[in-house]
Amino acid sequence: MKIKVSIFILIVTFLTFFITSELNNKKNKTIITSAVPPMVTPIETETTSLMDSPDGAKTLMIEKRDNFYTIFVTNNSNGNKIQVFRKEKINSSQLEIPYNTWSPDNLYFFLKEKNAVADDYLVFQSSGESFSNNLSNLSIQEPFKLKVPNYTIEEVTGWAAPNLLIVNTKQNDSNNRVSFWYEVPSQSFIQLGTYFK
Amino acid sequence: MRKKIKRKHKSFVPAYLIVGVMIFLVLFIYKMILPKNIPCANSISCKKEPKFEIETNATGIFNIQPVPVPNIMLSKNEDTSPVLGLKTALGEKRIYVNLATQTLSAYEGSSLFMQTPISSGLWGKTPKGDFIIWSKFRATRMAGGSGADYYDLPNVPYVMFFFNDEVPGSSGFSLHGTYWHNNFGHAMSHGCVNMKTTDAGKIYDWADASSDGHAGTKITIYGDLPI
Repeated sequence: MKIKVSIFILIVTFLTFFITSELNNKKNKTIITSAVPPMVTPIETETTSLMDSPDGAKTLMIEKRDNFYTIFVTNNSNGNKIQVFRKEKINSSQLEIPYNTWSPDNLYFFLKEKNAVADDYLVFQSSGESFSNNLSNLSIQEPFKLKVPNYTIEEVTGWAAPNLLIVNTKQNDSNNRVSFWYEVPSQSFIQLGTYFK
Repeated sequence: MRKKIKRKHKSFVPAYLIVGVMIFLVLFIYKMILPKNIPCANSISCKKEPKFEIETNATGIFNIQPVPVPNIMLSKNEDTSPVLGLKTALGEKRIYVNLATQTLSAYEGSSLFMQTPISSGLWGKTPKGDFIIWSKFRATRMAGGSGADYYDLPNVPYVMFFFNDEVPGSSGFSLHGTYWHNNFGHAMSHGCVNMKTTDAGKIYDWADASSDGHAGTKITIYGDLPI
């Protein structure tokens, strides 16, 4: 009986030792494996930004892959997704979706293009169609400089009405702040008495 | 004779003061007793009792512009009656509106339910203080202003009128959805708290109106618009 017990204890001890040593070996192997530098493969850098329209009917998406921005609009009721625009990323410029990007009727949206010199704002038709002058999007910064040279754009905050973007500006030679409307169909600026804080 | 004249002169000054103090007290008490003159949020629609009201294929007016009005499609299961049960497993529901940052935060106990940009009063002031949701309407009509400031907006969605001792529910101040502008994070209303329609829908389903002795969800409005 004593011999049987001794043999059993020996077997258990041996098995415990064997399992413990195997586990330690595995851990060591893992460490060795992880120490090997990963294989260098070209990975596509991809970022995606989304913004739903205020009524939830549509979603705007900007996909940045490699050196291109691609803009999509999805109709949330049927899942239809259309590509509205594709643009190469230039130097340090960055395309962003503002919180108030969608026009109240979902016909337009605007994007902020961050640049080193001055930010620009681009207006698009959500259908992907061009504007009447065959432009795929309307830039706000350049025409504003030409038409209202005494003021500088500080921010385009959002939509005052289905066709009217709110452009907050500062007078160049003073601290006077004035809001303008940018009327999309006529592509004109209208100075306002009210400042939209 | 001289003494008599002196006495008259001395007694005249305190009497003048007493009359002045009394007039001040009367005016002070009068002002305290009278209800404060809170201007109505929507000067035209406020004349009528708030009610559930929808129109089909309507056109609104805002900022001197015609605004397409979304039709309200009521689902069969949509419950328009107030839902009781202010306290949940997470705690009491509270809504905070910060006018300085133009944000709304909704909590259940210490748990954040929603935080979102809003638009408070630009042409009319949003009242500050502690309020309670008085009544909820899936949609109603809001109209007011005059001249260039005139607006008429049918089918305003997810309306939650609030009140307190100084601001009656009938004065038309509310949280509600917005289809006529998209400028949240900036003051843009006539006194109400404008929200994205999808956000207003979530708060509308979550918050409670006052009913049968049960107070509605509490709202605290604080802070000042940046100058």
